[in-house]
Amino acid sequence: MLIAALLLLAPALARADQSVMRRGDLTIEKQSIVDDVVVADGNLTVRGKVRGSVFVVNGDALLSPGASVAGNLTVLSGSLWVSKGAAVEGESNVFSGEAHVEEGANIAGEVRALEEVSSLTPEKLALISRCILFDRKTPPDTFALSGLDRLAPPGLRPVRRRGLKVFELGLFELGRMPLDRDEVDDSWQMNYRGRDEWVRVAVVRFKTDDEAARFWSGLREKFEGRTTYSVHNSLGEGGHWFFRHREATYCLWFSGRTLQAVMVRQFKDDPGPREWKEAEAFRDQVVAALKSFYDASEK
Amino acid sequence: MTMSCQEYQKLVLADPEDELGRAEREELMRHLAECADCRKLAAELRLELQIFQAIGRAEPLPELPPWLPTRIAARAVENNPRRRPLRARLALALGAAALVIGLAGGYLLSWQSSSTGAADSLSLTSISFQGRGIGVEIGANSFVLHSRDKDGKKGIDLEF
Repeated sequence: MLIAALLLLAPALARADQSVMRRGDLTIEKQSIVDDVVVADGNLTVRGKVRGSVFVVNGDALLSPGASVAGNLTVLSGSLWVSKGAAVEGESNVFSGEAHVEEGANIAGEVRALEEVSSLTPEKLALISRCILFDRKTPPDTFALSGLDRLAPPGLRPVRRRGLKVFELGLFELGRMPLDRDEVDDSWQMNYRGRDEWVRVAVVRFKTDDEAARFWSGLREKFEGRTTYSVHNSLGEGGHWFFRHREATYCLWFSGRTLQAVMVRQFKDDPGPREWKEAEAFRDQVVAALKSFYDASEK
Repeated sequence: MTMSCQEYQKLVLADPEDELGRAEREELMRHLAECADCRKLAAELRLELQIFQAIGRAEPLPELPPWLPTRIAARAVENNPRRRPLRARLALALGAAALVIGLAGGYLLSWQSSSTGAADSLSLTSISFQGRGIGVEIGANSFVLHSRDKDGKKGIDLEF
């Protein structure tokens, strides 16, 4: 009976000292203390303490009496409800939704609610919801990256038999980011040709976690302003970033000391929504193939 | 039959030794001499191959034809557009100044509306503000949101 009760409660209990990212409803229980919280396609109920920020897309955020959020609180396409006795130290912003703050709530920062945001279209919201959460899977540290030569994403033909060691990250026409040889432990890159696209998969293993994180920050600083349809999340361990540039779609992520990139460049002038959808589905297939490859190699 | 740019770009990505015949190489050369977009892609690939070679791979790398960079460079110089006349440049400068003043005015107005609108519900199509760890710019078709932690290192960034 006790075990059954614990199993039922387990998903709702967030472990202390870590960030929580969830698709679907989530409750941070009264005794729980967590860092950042990201929820997509579900409602968030906070009864405990959030030491970082809260981000909810396609769902409501409810702060019960006694709940506290130290950082910023953002809700996209949903409403915010702050009860009497709840506290928010940072700013609260609601886009395409309403903010309801009960008298007696302790709100230190500003509260803004933009009920209708015309530029936040259903298409963009769906993209944000899909991309904001991502499994940042990386190969085990003992895995030799040359083993990726055996990777065979469906519908793609490798340009050469063996992958290349690289000392820069080439992002098609967006540009390239040099890698410091002294900081790179191993690297692997392969270009593939599909029927109507060119695909590049790159994996870089740095010597330390800090070097990977520093490279990620540099990458963001260099290219952030030149991308479109960009969804970046660096909360929790590591980070991931989806974006478009010209005819190409990108998915980059890092965790620990490994950074990975999957890029799909379409051979279509001025692609429309249907073409983008196809290209992004194709990109996600390659990402899934990469993760499956790691899973299989771990066995 | 004339090929489209997409088809030429596939040729640019092909291994010229194994995958292109002489006629295709010559056709590609003619097209690259005329098309800036395809030249840019070819130049990008060329530079990448040079970098790969520079780091000393044991495996032989596919080479683009040696004439390619020279021809690209020559045509790029030929195609470099002349500078605009002084009057045109002056008109552009005045236009840019007017745009900057307009945007600055718009920003100040939107800042005022958001500051005074705290805890109220707003229905706007254009707003921009910055607060503690948060920056937002919303236009009729654009949505930019940066939500960062106290150090500004971690967070969520959306740009559409």
